[in-house]
Amino acid sequence: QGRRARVRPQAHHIRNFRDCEIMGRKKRASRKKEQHSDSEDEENEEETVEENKEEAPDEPVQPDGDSDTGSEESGSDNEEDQVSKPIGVQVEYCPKCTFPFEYCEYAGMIEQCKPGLMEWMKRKAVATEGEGEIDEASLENKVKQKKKTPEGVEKMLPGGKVKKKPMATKLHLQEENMVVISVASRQKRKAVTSITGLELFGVKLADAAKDFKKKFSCGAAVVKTPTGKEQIDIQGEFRDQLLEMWEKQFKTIPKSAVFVVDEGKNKVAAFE
Amino acid sequence: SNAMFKKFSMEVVQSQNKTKSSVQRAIRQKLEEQFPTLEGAWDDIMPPKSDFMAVKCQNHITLITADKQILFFQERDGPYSPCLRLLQQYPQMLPKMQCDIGACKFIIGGSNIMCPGLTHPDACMDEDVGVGQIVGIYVHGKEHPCGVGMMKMSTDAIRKVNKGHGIENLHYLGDGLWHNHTLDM
Repeated sequence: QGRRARVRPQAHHIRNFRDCEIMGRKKRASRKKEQHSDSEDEENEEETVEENKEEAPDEPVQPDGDSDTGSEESGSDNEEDQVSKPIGVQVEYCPKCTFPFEYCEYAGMIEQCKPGLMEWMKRKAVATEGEGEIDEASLENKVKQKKKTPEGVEKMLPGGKVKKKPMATKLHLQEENMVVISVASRQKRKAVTSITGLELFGVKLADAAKDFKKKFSCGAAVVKTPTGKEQIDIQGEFRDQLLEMWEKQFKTIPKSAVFVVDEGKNKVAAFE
Repeated sequence: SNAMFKKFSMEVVQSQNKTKSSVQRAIRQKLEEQFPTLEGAWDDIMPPKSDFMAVKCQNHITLITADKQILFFQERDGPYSPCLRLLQQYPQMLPKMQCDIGACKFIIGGSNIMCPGLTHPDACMDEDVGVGQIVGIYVHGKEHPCGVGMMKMSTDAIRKVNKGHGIENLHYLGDGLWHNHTLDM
């Protein structure tokens, strides 16, 4: 007991001589196993995670941080400590999307990932031995899920919320150069007047919207339609008023190109 | 803060100087304290002869890198969080918080984890941890973590209240840091 093991500078846990002896023994054992020598031996701790938990009842209570002491004195003394460091898991990453293969479906490029993903699934199936068949069906499901739900259908979100997909706005096909004014109902009593096609005649939509706002004392905005075109939405029903101010406002647009959507949802020439 | 690494590239890096060995030792000490389960593996993660750098970025973020690989990040003087790739290698380094599979799409989109996702029958909170603890975000049915987060509510509070943001999503699969995990981006 006269020997003193080399004590580390921050060895708070060492309360008695016995601790030093145990540490010394461990250090000598671990030194035997060292393949390469590093400059500072103290920093080469090679105890496992499991050893942290083990504590023989007759040992003094040790703080959690240190695993050295207290775990070796239970029953038979092991001169050869079970020293094994945590080994890093080798994760297989998809070469296409860079995600671990099990997450390829969330990377947004499943079609490119598929070949590699199939290979990985085969390898996994072989490794687990249980499932001999590749789960092609489930893979197809994963790919299919990406398709959009049809319009107007309710979608269940996690957490119980329900999301309704809005119906696509009915757009009259605008193949020819025309300006179309239509009114849709916003709430029970409110309406929206939409004007499409102004940009085809060189009208700057932002400026036009501003003018409408001033003239009608209401909200007007430039909105993108599902087809990609832009239209002006004016909050309120201004079909007739628009036609009245047309000459002053839009001199450049020939009247024959202007159409209005009436109750019958037909396009009628605005000016006779 | 959220969206920390949504956009991440060399542009946000402000200084890249080789760190002094004293600073290096201090950082390594802090890391060893914060992640005791990695005892013994540090020489594999950060070899002593490796090119160790503490890189400073915008928004008070510090990155710990070794041999140009980004290993940890830290906001201001807060706790260190591992890069998701490192966590996937050593899953034992963080407590596991598992959500139901439905949350996966949102986690990968960068959103925070809401309490109902953690109290779902498929969900599981491995350990009881408090606010501010760095955790690994897992999803039911997947082996590897898909995110690194910080507890906004304690596991106890999450179970009781079951409303609101439970875990802040700091770093997730497919974010800027996931794609740019080496310093020469």
